[in-house]
Amino acid sequence: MSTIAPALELRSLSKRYRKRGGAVAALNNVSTTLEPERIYGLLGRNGAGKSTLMSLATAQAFPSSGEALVFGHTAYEHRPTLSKICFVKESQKYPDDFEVRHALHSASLAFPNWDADFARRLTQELRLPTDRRIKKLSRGQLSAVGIVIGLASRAELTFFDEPYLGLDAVARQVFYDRLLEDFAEHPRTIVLSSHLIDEVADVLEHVLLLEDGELVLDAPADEVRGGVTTLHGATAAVLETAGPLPVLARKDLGPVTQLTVRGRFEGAALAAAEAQGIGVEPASLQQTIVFLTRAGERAEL
Amino acid sequence: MMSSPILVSARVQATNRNTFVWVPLLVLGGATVLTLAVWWAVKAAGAEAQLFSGSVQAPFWYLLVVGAQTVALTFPFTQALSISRRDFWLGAMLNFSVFSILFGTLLWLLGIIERATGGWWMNGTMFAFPLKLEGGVTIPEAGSAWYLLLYALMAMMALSVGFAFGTVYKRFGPTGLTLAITGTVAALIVLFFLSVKLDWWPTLQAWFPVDRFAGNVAIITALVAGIGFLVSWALIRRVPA
Repeated sequence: MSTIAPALELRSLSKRYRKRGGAVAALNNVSTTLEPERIYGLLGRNGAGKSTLMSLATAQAFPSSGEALVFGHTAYEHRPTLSKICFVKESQKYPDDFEVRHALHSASLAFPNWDADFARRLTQELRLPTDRRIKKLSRGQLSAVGIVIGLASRAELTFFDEPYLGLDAVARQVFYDRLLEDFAEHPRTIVLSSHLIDEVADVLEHVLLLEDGELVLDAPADEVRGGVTTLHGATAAVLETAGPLPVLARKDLGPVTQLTVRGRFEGAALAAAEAQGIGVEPASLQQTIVFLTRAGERAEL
Repeated sequence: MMSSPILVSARVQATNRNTFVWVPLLVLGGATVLTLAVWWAVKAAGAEAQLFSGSVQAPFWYLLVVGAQTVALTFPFTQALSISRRDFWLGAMLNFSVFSILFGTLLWLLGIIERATGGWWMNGTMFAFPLKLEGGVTIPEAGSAWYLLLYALMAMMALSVGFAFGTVYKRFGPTGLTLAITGTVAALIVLFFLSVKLDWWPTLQAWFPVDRFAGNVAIITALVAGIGFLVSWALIRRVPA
C-alpha cells in the first residue's frame, strides 16, 4: 500500500437509542484514530459502549451521526473494505444447528487470508470440539470460536470482543501467546475489547477507555502505565516527595502515609524518593485506570 | 481459489446440509410415511374409497421457518464474516431458487410415481390432484410440468414470506413484527370487503378465469413471493446485525 491510511478513523461517532423517557446515548461524539499494525485495548465497564463502537466501525450497525472509516473508507456495503475486517461479537449469533466445524468452514470461505493450518492448531490447543453444536458450547468454548476465527482470518483490522470471557487459564495463555506470535509474523491492527483490564494489559500498545459512551482516555499504554504512583513511608517525607502532584487517594496509618498521586517517578526523582526511605510503586494499568476514572479526571494524560 | 462474493455467501448459508437437504427430506418423508400408514389402516379396515391427503404442505411450513431464520440467525453470522448485506441477500436468493427448483422437481417426480403405482397401491392422492371440480376448475394430470412449477413457486413463496417477516423483525423488533402481521391480515380483510362492496368479482374473474386454474395459482404465488422479496430487499440494507 502506498498511502498509509489509518486502520480506523472515527469522526464524531455517535449512537443514540430511543428508550422510554427519551434518547440514550450508547456512544457520544467519539473521535480517534487507530494506526495500522498496532494492538489496541478498547476498555471500559459493561455497557460503556465498546460493542456499539465496534459494531459501528464494522458497519454491522448504523451511527446516529458521525462516521467510521476503515483504511480510509466506510465499511458499509463496500466489499474491498469489508474484506479487511473481522469482527465476531461476544454475543455472536450463528445459524441454527451450526456445529463448530460449520462456522470454521464458513470463515475459511469468506476471509481471503484464512490460514486453515493455523485454525486447526488453535482449535486443538483451545480444545474446541469441532463436531459440537454451537448452541451447546460453554461460554469459554464460544469465546474460543471467536478467537479461532479472529486469529486465523488474519484480517487487517481484527476485533476481539471480550475474548477472555469464560476461558480457563490455559486457554487464556494460548490466546495470548498465539496472538503475539502471529502478530509478529503478520502485523495487523488488533482491537481487544475487555472490561477486565488486567487480562489484556500486557498485550496492549495503546489504550482507549470508554465511559458511558464517551472516550475518556486515548493514550499509549506505556504513558498510562506508571502514570499513577503510590508512595508510602513517613507522612512528612511522603508529602514532601509528592510535592504539587495531584493526590488521587490518601491513607494514613499512624505516622505512615500511603499516597496515590498522579505522576511518574523515574531517574533522579525515583532515586531521591528512595533515598528518603519512601516506597515507590507504579500502579498497574488497571489500577491507574480505576484511579483516573474515579477521580473524574479526563483524557489529557 | 477466490470465488464470487455472492457464491461465497450462498455457500456459507448452505454450509450446514441440514437446512436445505436433510430436514426438508425428513419432514416430507415423515409426513408421507404417516399418511401411507393411515391409508393402510383405512384400507385394512375394508374401505374402498379414493384417499386424499394434504400432507405435502408439511415441508412448506418448515420453509417459512427457514426463511425467517435466514435473517434472524444466518444474517448476523454473515455480517461477522464481513459479507455485505447485498451479497447476503443475493446469496440467499440463489440458495432459495436452487432449492425451490430441486424441491419442485422432487414433488413432481413423486406425483409421477404416485400415478404409476396406482396411488401407492392404495388409490391414494397426495402429490398430484388430477381433479375436475364444479365450476370448470381443472387441476392438471399427474406428471404435468405445472406441478414442478407450482411446487417450486410455493416453496419460493414460503421462503420469501418467512424471509420478509424475519427482516421486519430484525429491523423493527417484536412490536414491528406484530404490527406487520396484523397489518397484513387487516389489509387482506379490507381488500376482500372492498372487492365485495365495489363488486370487483367480475373483473377478477376476467383476470383469473377459472379454467386456467394452474396458471392463476402460479401468478398469485409468484406475486406473493415477489412482494416478500421486495420487502426484504428494501429493508435489509438498514438492518443491524
